[in-house]
Amino acid sequence: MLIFVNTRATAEVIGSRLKLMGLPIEVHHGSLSRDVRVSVEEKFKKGELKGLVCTSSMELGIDIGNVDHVIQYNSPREVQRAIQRVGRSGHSLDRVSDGTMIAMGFDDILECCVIARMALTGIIESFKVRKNAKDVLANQLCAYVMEGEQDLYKFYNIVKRAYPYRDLTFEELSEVAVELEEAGLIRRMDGYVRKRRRATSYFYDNISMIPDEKKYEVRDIVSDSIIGTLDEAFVVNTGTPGTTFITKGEMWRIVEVDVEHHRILVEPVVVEGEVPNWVGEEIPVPFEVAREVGILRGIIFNKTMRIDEIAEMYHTDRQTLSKVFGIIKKHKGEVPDERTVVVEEHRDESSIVINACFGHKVNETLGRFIVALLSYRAGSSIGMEIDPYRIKLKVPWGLRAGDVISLLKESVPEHIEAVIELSLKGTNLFRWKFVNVAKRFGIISKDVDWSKVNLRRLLDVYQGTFVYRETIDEILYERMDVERAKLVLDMIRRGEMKVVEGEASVIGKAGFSSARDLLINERGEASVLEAFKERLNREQVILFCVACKNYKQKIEVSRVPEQPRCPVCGSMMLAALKPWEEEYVEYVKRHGLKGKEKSKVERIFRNANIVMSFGKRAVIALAARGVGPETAVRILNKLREKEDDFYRDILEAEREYARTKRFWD
Amino acid sequence: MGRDVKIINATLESPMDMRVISPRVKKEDYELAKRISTSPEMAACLRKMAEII
Repeated sequence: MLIFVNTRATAEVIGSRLKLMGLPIEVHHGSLSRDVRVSVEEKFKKGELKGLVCTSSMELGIDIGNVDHVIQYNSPREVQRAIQRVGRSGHSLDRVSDGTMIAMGFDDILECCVIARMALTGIIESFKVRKNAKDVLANQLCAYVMEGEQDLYKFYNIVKRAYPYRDLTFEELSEVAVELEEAGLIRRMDGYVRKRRRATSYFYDNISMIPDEKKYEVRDIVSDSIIGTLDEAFVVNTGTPGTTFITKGEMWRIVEVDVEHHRILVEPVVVEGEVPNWVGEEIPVPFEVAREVGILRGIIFNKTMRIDEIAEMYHTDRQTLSKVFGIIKKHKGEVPDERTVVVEEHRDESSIVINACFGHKVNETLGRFIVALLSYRAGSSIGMEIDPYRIKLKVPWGLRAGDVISLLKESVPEHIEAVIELSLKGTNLFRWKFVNVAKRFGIISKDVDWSKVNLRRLLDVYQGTFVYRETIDEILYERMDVERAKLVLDMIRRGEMKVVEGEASVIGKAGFSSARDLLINERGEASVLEAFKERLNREQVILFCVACKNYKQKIEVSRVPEQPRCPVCGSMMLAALKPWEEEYVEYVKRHGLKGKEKSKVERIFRNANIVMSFGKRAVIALAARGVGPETAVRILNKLREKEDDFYRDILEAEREYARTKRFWD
Repeated sequence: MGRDVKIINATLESPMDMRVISPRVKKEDYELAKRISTSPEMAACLRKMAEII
């Protein structure tokens, strides 16, 4: 039995829980080492395991032996993926492939039903092949001239035989050749092309068009521990301070992104009921599936079919359908379906939700388009989140549903592409993509040292060139669907698609919450403070007597007495220093100091004064990161009665330091 | 490109069956949820998986 899930994180959660229930199963996904994966596959084949919890890692290629049944947990999102996955069972000609989709939540149930119907009636979403990708062309041209001088026109005729390049013009190919010549990879002469020395290493370095996945280390500032790693793609696409996400079953908020050291600093999220902004490596829901979900909503709302008929047509049962029936039947006003866009004001979250059953790519396109125009008008930036059925705008005060509706009705479809292009410039996503494209044209070497590259200048130089164009094309192909977004706006103009205002509804609020299933514990603030206290008390400090200058000892904070005294001279003037401040102790013993050294000594005396006045509490505060004598005094002077309040103040100071650290160093 | 090609339909209908379910939360799921620290809804799904396995 195979249990397919959509993300590695889900695989871990489901796997660990099934193991706790005593089932002989294992987890299989791309983040596990090859050795682990192979051994799990072997065990499964031998029948030692009853099930594997897996991601797309198990979709293709691997011979896994007999599989009786496939479970898909949550919607597989694409019809072809459902067929691929369920097809792993009964893997021979005469046996029936058998699959069960386990759905949770409103969107999920409807989506699974639609995908089951489409799959079993043989309707698969359309598949778009990227046309005229220039990076692949550049790489292939270098490969072609590897053996010696070649005729460019001959190459052109060969390339045109391939389907994705059927419409390529010779001028477009020539542009690529010019770019490669400028990068010093080839030489052109009278229609002939010859390789230069660098071409060989360029060719081998860039055979794969998949960018190297760099990992970011994720460090929790509260416990000062590494909690895992995140893909670079996540960090550049969504990783801005404030973003919340789930990893290892817990929710975190980004405090600071450190691009140079490939590190992000996070803090635990304690607000109950908060929904993470970032869900994970999400598979986009195609337009066709999202639209049929709209149709199904309409069928239920308008009662055009009985519940039993629907259950039969969509391969499900009454009980499962009853979970969505309740929500749709209670809906007031018009239900958002395949022909109706409903715009809702959600005042409690100061957001506007555009209910739009068009799938991820169209919604991302429309969302970016709307945000670009509204931000321009409002003069301030507007946040956006999308899912396959909604576009959610975080709006500044004063923006109304009516504004969004008139914008959708009056926009010129032909403007979409230009507006989106403009809005992409300057985003992290664009920069990251640009770097990858530039590598594939040999403009930047594959293992570039970032501290030596001025990315902004590079972007300026290449502004408007075809490398720039290629970057835009790639983003548009991967994440958006301009053609269908235009179609939607066209339908609105012609009156074939309605845009209406509606009250904040359950349907509008559903979604954006699937990732919450990955949360194992919702932690209380108390547990965060507890972890912080524990860490602070484990920190090492150096106690140094500034009175006799003869006592110096490294000690754990927890072992410091309430009012520390110098065991040599009995003075209470002890400075509590961080381990790396030890070298400054020598300054105190010297005379005639100037400048920096003098100020270090003054700080040590101030430190000792604070410890004398406040005792152990001062030592605790001074052990925290980024807390020097000034901050410590500010915290201690509050004379907090409750211990928790005191620690909370220190934690806040550490957060502040983490946020602003790069300005100090 | 003027080459002589013939397009054949190679669709092979391999028999397939799919069901969509969303397990109802039962009393026992609350206890299971507590034992393996998860939500009752998730526990119901896991119970269903265990039944199918």
